[in-house]
Amino acid sequence: MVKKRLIPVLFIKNGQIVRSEKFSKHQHLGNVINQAHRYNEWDVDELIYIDISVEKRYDLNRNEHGVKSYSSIGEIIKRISEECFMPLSFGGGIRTIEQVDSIIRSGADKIILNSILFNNILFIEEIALKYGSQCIVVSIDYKIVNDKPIVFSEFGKVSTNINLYDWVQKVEKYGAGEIFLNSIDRDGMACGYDLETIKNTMELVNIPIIACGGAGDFYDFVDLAELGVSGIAAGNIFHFTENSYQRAKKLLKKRDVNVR
Amino acid sequence: MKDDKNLIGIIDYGGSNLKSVFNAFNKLNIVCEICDDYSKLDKYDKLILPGVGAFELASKQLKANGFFNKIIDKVNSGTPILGICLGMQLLLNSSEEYGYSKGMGLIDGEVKSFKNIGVNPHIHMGWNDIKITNNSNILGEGNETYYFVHGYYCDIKEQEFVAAKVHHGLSFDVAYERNNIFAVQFHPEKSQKNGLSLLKKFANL
Repeated sequence: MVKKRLIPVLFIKNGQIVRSEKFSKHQHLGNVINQAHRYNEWDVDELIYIDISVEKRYDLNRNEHGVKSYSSIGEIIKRISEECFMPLSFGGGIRTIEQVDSIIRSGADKIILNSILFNNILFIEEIALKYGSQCIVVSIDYKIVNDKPIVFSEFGKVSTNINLYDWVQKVEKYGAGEIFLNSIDRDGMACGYDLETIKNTMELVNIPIIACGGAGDFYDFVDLAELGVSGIAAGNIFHFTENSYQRAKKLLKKRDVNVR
Repeated sequence: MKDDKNLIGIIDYGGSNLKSVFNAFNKLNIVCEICDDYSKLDKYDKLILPGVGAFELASKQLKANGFFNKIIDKVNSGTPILGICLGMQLLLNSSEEYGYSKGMGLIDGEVKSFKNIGVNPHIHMGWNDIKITNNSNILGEGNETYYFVHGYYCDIKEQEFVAAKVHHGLSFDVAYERNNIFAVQFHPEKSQKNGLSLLKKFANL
């Protein structure tokens, strides 16, 4: 049986890894390449990178170390894939098939789509035809509004007024290979995952679901694993807790979760 | 290595994970090159057919770039080849992906869809333990864990050459080994230690 994946999510802003809270506050945590190296040493199952730069300026702040800066996300991916021999997914601002080509050829295994799909859902089909459905992760950011999960675009800023449950079925129909579900309300809040919405979503689709948003301790991972998701994702908890990844895996194993 | 002449060529037929495979060999200090010109294929002693992609388009691109028949000729004359993921599938007779399209026929078998037989989720994504079913020169000895990401699976007729199987909805073929033909459904270049060890064994054959 395929194992549950424990997946660190790294948000890149202008070439730096940042901590995110409710999608708005961002605290800088350091150089993206050094972090990639660290995660490779930890032997993580998979890594998700999301570029949240608004200015799309890629300064890795490495001038101070006598190392040159990087000018594009493509270069960042190339450097990361030289360090990481694990699956890598990249997203953030992908709008064209040329960007997808460049990201895949730079060493990413999967690409993550979000806001573009509200204007052009056929983009999923276009990519699937070239790279296969398995290569496409659809990222969905949602908030609970009047007891309903509503999908937001543009890094959680703009309400689409679309119900999450309708949207997941639609993206699956168009050929999404996987869904990355992120609760905006719980981002950085360490209050536990939104198990109810995640469970409802799982019942509606037949593609793997990675859930994110709200992990406060490792027992939250166990709760999510027991729900049956394919991927357990978290950001902040891995940045701020010592030996977090190894310790989380240990707990999951102890609780009989099928992990690597 | 058996001799000095052991140059590995990674076949670049457009849109693939070749950079990851290249990086993995670099990490192992094994010399390899990315090759996008079929007429230069003769300089390589071993070939890698990588794969992230859709079968039909990849098969078309291989034909358009002149690689398709050239690879078949080279493999038939004894050059070792390692097909990875879609690269494995392309070595089979045919695939159901987007209708029906023909592969190279170097391995007798068909590529089938998880969706069509109702496997849920119909994408096999993540780490899974393989079960070794026959002796292999490139796999490890135990039942190892590798990374998979695919929506179609190989159903091989020549079971005596199937080196490993995995279970996701059903038990299916994920490693093949016959003379100079090697193929794996998982991604060794993304499977950390186990994967790097497999690539090293292939390079040292």
